[in-house]
Amino acid sequence: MSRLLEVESLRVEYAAGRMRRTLVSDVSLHVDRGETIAIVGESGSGKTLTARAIIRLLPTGVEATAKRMALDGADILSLSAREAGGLRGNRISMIFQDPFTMLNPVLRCRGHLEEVLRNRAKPLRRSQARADAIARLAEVGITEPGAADRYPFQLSGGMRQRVGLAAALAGDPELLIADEPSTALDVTTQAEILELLKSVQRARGMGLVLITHDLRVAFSVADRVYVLYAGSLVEVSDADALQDEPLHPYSLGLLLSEPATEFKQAQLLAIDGSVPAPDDVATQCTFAARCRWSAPQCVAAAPPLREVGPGRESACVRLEEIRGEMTAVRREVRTALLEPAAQAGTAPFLAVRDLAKVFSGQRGGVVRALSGVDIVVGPGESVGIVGESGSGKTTLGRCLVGLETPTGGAIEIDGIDATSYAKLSSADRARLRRTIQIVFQDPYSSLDRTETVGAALREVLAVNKYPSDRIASRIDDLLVRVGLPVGYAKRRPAALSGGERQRVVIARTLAIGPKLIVCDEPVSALDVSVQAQILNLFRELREELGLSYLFITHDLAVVRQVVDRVYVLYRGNVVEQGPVARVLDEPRHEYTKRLISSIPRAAA
Amino acid sequence: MTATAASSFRGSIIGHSGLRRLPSAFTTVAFIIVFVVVFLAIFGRFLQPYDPAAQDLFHTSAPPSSDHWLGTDGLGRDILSRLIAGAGAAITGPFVVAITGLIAASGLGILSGYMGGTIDLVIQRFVDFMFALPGLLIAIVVVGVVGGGYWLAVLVLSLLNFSGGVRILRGAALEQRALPYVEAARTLGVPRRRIMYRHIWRNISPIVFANAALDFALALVALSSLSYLGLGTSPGEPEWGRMLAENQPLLFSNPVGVLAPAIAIVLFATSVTVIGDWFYDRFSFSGRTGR
Repeated sequence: MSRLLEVESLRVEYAAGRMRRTLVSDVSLHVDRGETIAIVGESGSGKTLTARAIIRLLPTGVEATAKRMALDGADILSLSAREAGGLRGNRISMIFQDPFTMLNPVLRCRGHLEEVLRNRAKPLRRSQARADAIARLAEVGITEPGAADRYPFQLSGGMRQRVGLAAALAGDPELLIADEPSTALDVTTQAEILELLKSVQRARGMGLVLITHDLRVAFSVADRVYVLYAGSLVEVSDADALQDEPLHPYSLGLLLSEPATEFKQAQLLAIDGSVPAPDDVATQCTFAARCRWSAPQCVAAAPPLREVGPGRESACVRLEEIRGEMTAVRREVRTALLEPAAQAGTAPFLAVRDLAKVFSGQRGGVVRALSGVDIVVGPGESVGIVGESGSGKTTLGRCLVGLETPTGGAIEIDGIDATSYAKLSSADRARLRRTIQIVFQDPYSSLDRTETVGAALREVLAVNKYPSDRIASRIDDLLVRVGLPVGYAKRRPAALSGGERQRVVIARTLAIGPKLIVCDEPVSALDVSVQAQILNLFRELREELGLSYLFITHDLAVVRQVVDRVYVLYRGNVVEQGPVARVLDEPRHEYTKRLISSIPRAAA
Repeated sequence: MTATAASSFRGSIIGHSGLRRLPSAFTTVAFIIVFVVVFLAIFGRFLQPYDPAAQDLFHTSAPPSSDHWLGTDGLGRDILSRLIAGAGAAITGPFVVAITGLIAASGLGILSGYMGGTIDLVIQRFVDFMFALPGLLIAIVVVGVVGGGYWLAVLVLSLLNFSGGVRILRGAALEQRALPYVEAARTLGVPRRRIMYRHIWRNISPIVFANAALDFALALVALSSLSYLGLGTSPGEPEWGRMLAENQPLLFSNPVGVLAPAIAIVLFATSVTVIGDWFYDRFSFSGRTGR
């Protein structure tokens, strides 16, 4: 196989005035013709910037330098902006994460392709361009007649991502860069898109660079994997070999913090802390501060990548010493916890009967978000609601806490009729608030960014009539309770990482002392290594405070780890329910089976 | 190991950086101008070389000289002194208009956006009605009929001005209302008034202040226009718009007499707008990290 792309010592910096900040340091990689590589890393690792430097689409103020960058042996580093523009779309293409904003809303599907097709060397006749566009849409699985003439808003996310892919392929590129192409999609669609990418790549024999935060996605598609951490490579390996045995503590951590779907882990391994800024760790092992095997030699100098096996490179200086221990840790984390049988017989704490919610649209259209949903949660029980976007799971959670009023059915929480919050007396409303609370998905916008953490907690305590002389000590308790230093009370949300913000949100919820917490996708906006921290926190809180959870999520692995019983929601209906082990191991409903089979796994 | 770069390139999606950096020098100048005007409004009386009302009928319409830096007007009054004396009127009136606008727009706009329903409907129809009124024309008529005066003009402008702000802040509040931090506050039992006027207001405050700066500049121009038409300040009072009108006949003998107040109005109004813009850019929370 010949080298298609070669990048040597790529460095990406942000420069504004005299300030310079390293974003990517010294990354070397290559892609052979017909090969798929994956660049894996958490947010802030520099994976997207690496790809954007290759295709020359860096944001303003960001500069890239490299020793060498060549496509098919020819230098592409010294190309002018205009020449680089000629490269884009024709020899190198890119598809992006968000299929909802990637397409131009006023252009028909085929328009996106025709634009590229007619822009090529030979001018095409209109009719020919149209025929060509339709043929190319067929390549990505859009065969339905008339689909080519639809506008993006008439298509589902998966369909849009297909159109985006077809447009990226319209210039017949030799190299395709896919930046988290499946992350914004539902699980079942995700699997289809990855499958499609793989098959298109094989059929065309092109090079594919897949950027992802999800090792499982990388294993299912890529031949080789580059693991990026804080702007530098920590491990390069064949995908299969990496899956068998990661040779860097970070890769191991990343692999292990991915919760298992097959069984309930005795303990979820979390990597403490969060990703540092590259400049702060420039002269040491970037992972040292979070590594359990960190030793003086790790912080003495920045360890370069070195060959540690056939086709394998690792930046760990202590690899030989700790290899045995790493394997042991992996075995330990993979031990299953015996799943307790769901308790029965106790009076339900939360009972939802025949719940319906209909949204009426502006032009008389109606959307049935929920119809005839029955759900029961016992005291101290953790119950999961699983479903994809549009299944009504979020609407259900919002009805429970009074953010929406259901159009039918009944909700009873701890003996109070909570069907319509507006009809309750203010005393009952206050009692309900102290009983049921909600944690939202996005920790970034769940906090008022103008006030400090302490002020946010104080407010909740004060409005709920907590004795004012004990508020200060209660704030400290709450912060400690969720694993944050007491000093964080003085910080504003901007100074916190995503995981820390979610801890603050949980602390704020606990301030009110609820018995049941509705968790609406509480970890899906977080990095994998942080997800495990938060899931562990949820587990601990439940053990210590006897909380009940209603866990709303699309992620079956999350469900497996924190939930006793699960309801599967599909288009506003409960299609299956039961103990989590039973539902995930022996699904009965067609839809549940499809959900489970779409979890990304390594190619056999 | 540091790589000696063979070649490098920059991000190249539109050279936006050049545009962004320009205002900082720009803003500094704007700050200096506003500072000078404020300073003159407060301490101007000690700096005026002459009494702004003192007439010197032997030296009328004189061009700039070492005695009169900006020359004299048709009644022989020192133009520099009158310009300095006019700084007060250039600030107080527009400031009152901007502050009343800020309070009314914040109060009604956030209420309208957050509450929705009937309250929203009533406020918005009211705003629509206010929009339909030809503002300056009404000001001219009212001030003309009632009989002029600076503060009457300020009052009329204050009443006619705030409806635009209500609309802008309603939109901003509407956007905030759907954010999880607001919904969290609701489920946590934070009172409505506190959600609206503490949380939402603080989050949209860059828009509030930028809008107030714009109101200030518009009010300055509107008040000057009224004075120019002889409807604002009473005759003889040093006010930039009035000076413009009074000195118009001097265009050929002492053009500085007309140009100086005109330039003062334009520079001051522009500077305030620029600062409003800067404030908005500086304090807007953009992006998820909100740095």
